[in-house]
Amino acid sequence: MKQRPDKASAEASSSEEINITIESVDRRSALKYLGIGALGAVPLMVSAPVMNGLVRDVVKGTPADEGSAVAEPALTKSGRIRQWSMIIDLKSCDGCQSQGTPPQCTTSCIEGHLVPQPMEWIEVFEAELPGGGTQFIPTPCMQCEDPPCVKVCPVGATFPTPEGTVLIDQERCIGCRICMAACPYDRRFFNWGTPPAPPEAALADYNPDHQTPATVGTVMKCDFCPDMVRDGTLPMCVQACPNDAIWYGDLEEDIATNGRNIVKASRFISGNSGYRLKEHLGTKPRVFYLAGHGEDVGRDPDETGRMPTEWPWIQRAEGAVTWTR
Amino acid sequence: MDTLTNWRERLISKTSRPTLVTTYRYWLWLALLTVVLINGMYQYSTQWRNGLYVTDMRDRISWGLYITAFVFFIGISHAGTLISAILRASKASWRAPITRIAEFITAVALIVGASFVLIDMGRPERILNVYLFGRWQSPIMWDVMAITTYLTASIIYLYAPMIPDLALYRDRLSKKVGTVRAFLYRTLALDWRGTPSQLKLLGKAITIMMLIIIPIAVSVHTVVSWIFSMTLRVGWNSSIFGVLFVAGAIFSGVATLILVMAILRRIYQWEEYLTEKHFVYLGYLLAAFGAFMIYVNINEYLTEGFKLEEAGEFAFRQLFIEDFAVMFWFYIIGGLLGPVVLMLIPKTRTIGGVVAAAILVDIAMFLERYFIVVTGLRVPLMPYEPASYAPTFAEWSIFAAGIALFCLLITIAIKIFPMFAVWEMTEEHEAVFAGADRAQESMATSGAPNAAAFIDGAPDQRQRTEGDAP
Amino acid sequence: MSHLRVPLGTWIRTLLIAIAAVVMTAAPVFAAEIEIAVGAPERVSVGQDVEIKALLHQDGAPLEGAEVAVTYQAAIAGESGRVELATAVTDATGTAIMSFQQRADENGEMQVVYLGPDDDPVKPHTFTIAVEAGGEQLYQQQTGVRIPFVNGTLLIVVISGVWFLIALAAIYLVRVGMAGRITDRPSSEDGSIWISVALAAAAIVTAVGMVIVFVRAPVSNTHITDPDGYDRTIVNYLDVSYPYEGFGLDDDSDARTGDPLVDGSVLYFQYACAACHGLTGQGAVVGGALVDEIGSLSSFADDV
Repeated sequence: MKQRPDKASAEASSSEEINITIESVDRRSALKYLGIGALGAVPLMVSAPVMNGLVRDVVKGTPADEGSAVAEPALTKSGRIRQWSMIIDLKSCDGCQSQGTPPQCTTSCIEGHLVPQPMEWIEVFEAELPGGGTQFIPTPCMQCEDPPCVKVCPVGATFPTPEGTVLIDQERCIGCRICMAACPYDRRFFNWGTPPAPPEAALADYNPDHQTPATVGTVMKCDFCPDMVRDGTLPMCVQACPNDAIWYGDLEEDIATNGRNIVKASRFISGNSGYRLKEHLGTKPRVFYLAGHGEDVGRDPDETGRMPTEWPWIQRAEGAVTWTR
Repeated sequence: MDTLTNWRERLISKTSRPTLVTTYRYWLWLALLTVVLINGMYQYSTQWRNGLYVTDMRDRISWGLYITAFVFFIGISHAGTLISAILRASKASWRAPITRIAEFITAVALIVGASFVLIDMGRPERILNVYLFGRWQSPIMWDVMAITTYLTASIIYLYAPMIPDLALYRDRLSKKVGTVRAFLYRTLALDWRGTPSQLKLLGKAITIMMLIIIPIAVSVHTVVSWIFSMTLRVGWNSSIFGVLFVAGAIFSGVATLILVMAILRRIYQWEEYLTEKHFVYLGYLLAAFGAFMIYVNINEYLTEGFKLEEAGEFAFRQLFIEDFAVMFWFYIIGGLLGPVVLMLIPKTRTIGGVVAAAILVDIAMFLERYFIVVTGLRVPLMPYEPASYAPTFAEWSIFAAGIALFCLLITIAIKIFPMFAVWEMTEEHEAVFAGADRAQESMATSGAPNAAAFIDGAPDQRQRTEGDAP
Repeated sequence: MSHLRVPLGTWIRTLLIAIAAVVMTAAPVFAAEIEIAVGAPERVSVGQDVEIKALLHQDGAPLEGAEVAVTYQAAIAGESGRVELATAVTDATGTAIMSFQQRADENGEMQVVYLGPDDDPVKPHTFTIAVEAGGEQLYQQQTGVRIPFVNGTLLIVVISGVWFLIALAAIYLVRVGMAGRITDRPSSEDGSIWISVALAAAAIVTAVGMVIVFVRAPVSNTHITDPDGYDRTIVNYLDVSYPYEGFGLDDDSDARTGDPLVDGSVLYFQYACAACHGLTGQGAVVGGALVDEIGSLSSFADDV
């Protein structure tokens, strides 16, 4: 590596022959630079709490924060936060075969939330049993305690509430769909096109508790009807089930009801061989299943098939854009 | 040493030719790229209006061609790091003519790759949410951080070694190019005079960047792989994804570099500088990474296939035998084994053979990204029928527009920027030349056949042997 | 035989006494006569482990092997009923100990019931246990894993270190430009230095911006013990409260516009009638059509 004589640089106005010294990359220089870099991180780290406070002050000024009511979580009488869960008694679920209708839990959810076609926030899957025949599994969002969807969202658009339900803020969602890739239960749905909306949807002020109106390019899912249960009624699917197969419970007070009876939730689950879906994945879902195939309502496992899901309200929507799953 | 100067003058005149001379073919090429780009932009406007409905992505297969293109282009961007940084750090002198092209490919590929993420978003106008409400716990945020860091670092790493060459253009070409380019050269050359202090400072800057850009590049494609492997899907839930993706990135990056080099070499008659040796060495790199990819793929598929957990059988079936079999086996045989075989056989160890290998690799790596994304999502999570996915015309148009943008940016860069690191090549050539000079002298005195006949510029040198000191 | 005629009142009285005698002697044959005595604390607090002792006697002797259960009056989501808390079987001394954790805020009327055959019902023993007001959250969400130091701090260190080095390299480029100005140069070429300054500034701004992203993003995956976790909207938003302006089940001002059509549709929707009866009462798959004259006897008769 040669060096150009200094005197030549004084007269030269161009860069004809040049040899640049690249410092030999030995351990010492590498460590030196890494050390400088690490040192540079210290002031940023130290200032982080200060910056945190500064940024919080800046954000505080936005209009949404001033004088608006914050929804309280659902509380027991003594102020403990309810921990919502569901227990689905598969001994009583026959996919509404005996009713001759599409599954009524799905339909009531669709009608009540104006769910765009083809989303089924609670979906009744038909699974094959090991010994032959099938069982019906109504599958709402599992409201996991360790939700994979929450973990991966880049903007925090999906978040867990203190009651344990996982909600979506469709005004923050950027539509990247990594939450849909992460959910192991296929319970998240995307508005691929502009979803249809009836006139009633205009009455709704959007709120994550009640995902209406649906907006294009965002993700939606079952939300355990938090606005309804906070005010003391049961979710739509629980109310609609003709066999009272869906129980809705509070794990804090350890009780559950299906609209007709009340049980102590933990004893009900353990005493009826309750289990959760895909337990090995570690998502800790809040939906428990009691094994069965509809035998309590007289269903034989070999009676397969159910009516396909319908979206009755779509007929009233102007220019409905729908798609397939 | 006049001969070195002659060599250098020839180098400068040949490599600055694209900047000075524009043929009609150039405009034709530019027009073609613009047409493809405009078509893509029109299709994107339909997507903007109607939502992602215009694609074939649906709830069950919610990622498709766009994410494939994103991963593919980010992968290509690793060409620059390998050639420019790793080979510079290990002082491999043959890399000198190709560093600039490699660094340009890196920067351009990053820009194109990052835009595919925006194209895939359901609500692109809310991109600021990523900065206002970003959660650092999210793999996508790691992706944003890593790609931003890599883009900045590679632009600086592209720019810093280019300063002396920009100064060269400023001094030589300012009167021959328009005012815009002259202003650009003058501004970007940073008052470069070649003084010792400037040399030292630039050396420091390049050393720092060279050191940190290697871990940055490794981290970029690792976090891209974590977007998939941080989920619980069969086929994605694998710990080897980081290695697979980084190796695949360097693999496809080298292949793209070979292709771009071959094309530019043919068009601008740069055979003297992009020699067969360069292609063969890059071919060796390609084969080496191909062998490594084979090893990683064996690890991945053998360990999963031996166990065949729940839904594992479906995943294997669709990949090895049914829907995606053609793609998969082309990838394994054509893309991974191909370069290894082509480089092992001496007959195909030519420029033609290496370019053929590079074409196979680029196609195969694109298919690999595609079937990793789609097959991972296609495995049913609950008891339902598996969905299918076939990209629509809109998706293909936008993908083609991405490729067109890649080519367009490089085409424009050729017109403006020096595509060769003249100063580095001069350095390397001088070192080689000095060694050959001494050898020639000793041979002349010993009466051996004139080996200098094989060295560039040898006839000139023979005349001057008596007068010059080595 | 007139001296033998018994007055009617005497007959009736005798009959009644006879019946009473029969009943009283036969009662033990028909009645189970299992007595339940209960020992329970008077006052418990939420979360406390409670033991209810039940002592069963049959005809004065301890009853072994009898299953008893303790129940309480529960209410949730508009439903109320009796819920079984625990069961136990009596031992040789006739004692059964039922234990449970006090989860409910109030127990109402509690009962210890004998779970025997139905045709021999035993009167349950009722009692009350007062529950102290206030209580700690019992159910804790089991969310995620917290590894010390593998968190945002580590990420900040790594990223800011890297960006510091990038900024350093950019600053060296600035100095390259400045070094070129040592010799006399015409001032028209001063602009070149600003490129490097811009580069360095961009690097520093981006680095600081990234750090701001870190400090803004709070922990998601809420642990319920996390002080931020109790405020439902601070979970993921940094101090951004989400206004509950939804359908306002607790605020029906939307349904007081005065136009009966608008008000009616708001209420019909708010209270989820639409869920089962469909919109405009046309009848969904779940509920029936509501378009007949509501309130007319004929429609009532049809529905029944």
